Amino acid sequence: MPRRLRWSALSLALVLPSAPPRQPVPTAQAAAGYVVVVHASNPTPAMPREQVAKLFLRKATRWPSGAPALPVDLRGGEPAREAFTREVLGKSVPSVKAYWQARIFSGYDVPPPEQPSEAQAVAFVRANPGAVGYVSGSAVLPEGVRALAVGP
Amino acid sequence: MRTHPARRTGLAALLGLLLSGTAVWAQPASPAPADTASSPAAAAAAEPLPNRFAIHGYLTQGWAQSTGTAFYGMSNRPSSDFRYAAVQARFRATEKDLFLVQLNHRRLGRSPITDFESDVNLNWAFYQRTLGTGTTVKVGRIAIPRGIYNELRSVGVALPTYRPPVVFYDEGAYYSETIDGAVVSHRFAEEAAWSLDAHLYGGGWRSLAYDTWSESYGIARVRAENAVGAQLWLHTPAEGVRVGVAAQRYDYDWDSDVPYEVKEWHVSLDATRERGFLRTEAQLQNYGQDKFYSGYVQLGARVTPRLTLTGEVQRSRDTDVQYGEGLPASFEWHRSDGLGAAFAIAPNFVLKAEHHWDRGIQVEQPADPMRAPRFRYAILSLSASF
Repeated sequence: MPRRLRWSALSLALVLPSAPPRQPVPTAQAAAGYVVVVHASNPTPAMPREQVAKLFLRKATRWPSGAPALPVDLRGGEPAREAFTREVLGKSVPSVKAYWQARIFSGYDVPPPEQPSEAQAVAFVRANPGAVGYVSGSAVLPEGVRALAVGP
Repeated sequence: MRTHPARRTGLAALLGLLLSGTAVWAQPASPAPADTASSPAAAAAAEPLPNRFAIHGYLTQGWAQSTGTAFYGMSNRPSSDFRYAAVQARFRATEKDLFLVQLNHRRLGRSPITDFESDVNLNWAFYQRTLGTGTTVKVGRIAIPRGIYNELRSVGVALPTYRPPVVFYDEGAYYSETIDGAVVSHRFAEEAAWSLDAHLYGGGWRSLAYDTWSESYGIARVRAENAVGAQLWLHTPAEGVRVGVAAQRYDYDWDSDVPYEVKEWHVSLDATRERGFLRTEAQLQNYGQDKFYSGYVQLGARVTPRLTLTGEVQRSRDTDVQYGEGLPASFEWHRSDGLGAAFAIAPNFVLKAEHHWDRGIQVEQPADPMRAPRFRYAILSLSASF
């Protein structure tokens, strides 16, 4: 299947309200406007909010299983990014960007890759067993990814 | 005439890179959505290295004036010859191997400090190996992981003022940003509420030393060798709050004098929250012929999401003085109080204005500690990064 067509099909799967969800979505997260998603093979059922934040700020680099974690962000301006950053990282998007400026120019690290759409973020997670991303609370998750419950 | 033709060429190349646009990603961060859900092993084999190759850069352009005293290039004639710029190229060869090179450029108005450096300098060049335990080893020319600001000295978009507290961190003299050697870093208990970052380093560096209490102002290149040091950062459960302690020793080689040993101790508190920050540091530098104490407190308030106001107090004192005929055994070296405002047009585009009230001999002209000059200076700057 051509790449463009495959992206489109995935996008439709994410936005069509009539499609039944293939994975249960944690209601608390969904109500907050975001859902954290991981690869279907990821053995971690749930994580405290602080641990998820550490993965996205690269203060922690591995899953509890020891596997490398591969966070992926949405581009700034996406409502899910605003909600996720506020609720999970406890910061504003500009504050997180400022944090990464300091990390980059002190030579330590670079921010997680940014995906331009939720469909591409989900595709990234689906393609990488160590990946963790997030989508809007209303998203319907396709096969190959599942929601990660985020605790207080 | 300071500018050599070859330096102009290098500067043009650096600025060309700075202006060439946004970060470069040689490998797409978004892989093709292959159906790997049912085959984790295959997926793992195909797992990409995001951000394999990246170029970043920053630039700060300043306008500055003092009320007369020569201070880091400033005088009573306003000048726009104040600038920091750098381009950083990062190549992650494998998950464990990283190469990083950073070129920088600095202008400090009429300061003699910039007579000792080219328009474009090799700021950092290191190879980093990540070991299985998560420990990283860097070898080459590396930013010294020391204190809150040493690794961010010139990064305008990440600083609340034009530069870090200069009485404490200086600017190319008596304090080095980089080390030629190795740095070993490890984070303990990274998943716990309390975690500890430990950095050990060894090697040497070049810096400058100045003489302000003689009849003529003097500045000289010095070399530190046999340096060993450590920095510990304890991260607390409170987001953005960390406490640091550090120590280092080295042998200073100044002209033909016999090298003498310098020992330093350093403590830091950094509480950076969404609505503001409190940062304070203190250090003792024991040069053998004197003991130099310095410290500062910086308080910042984010009054709106874009506007941050900062106030700072800096103090330093030389004690147990056994050099310089006629000098007292203890005297205040320098004091500085400052107020500044930073307006973030965007996170990577920041406008700053600041004013400082100083008295002391950390100046670029002959100065008597007993009649230390009193002066003020102001800096307006614009910082950008990509």
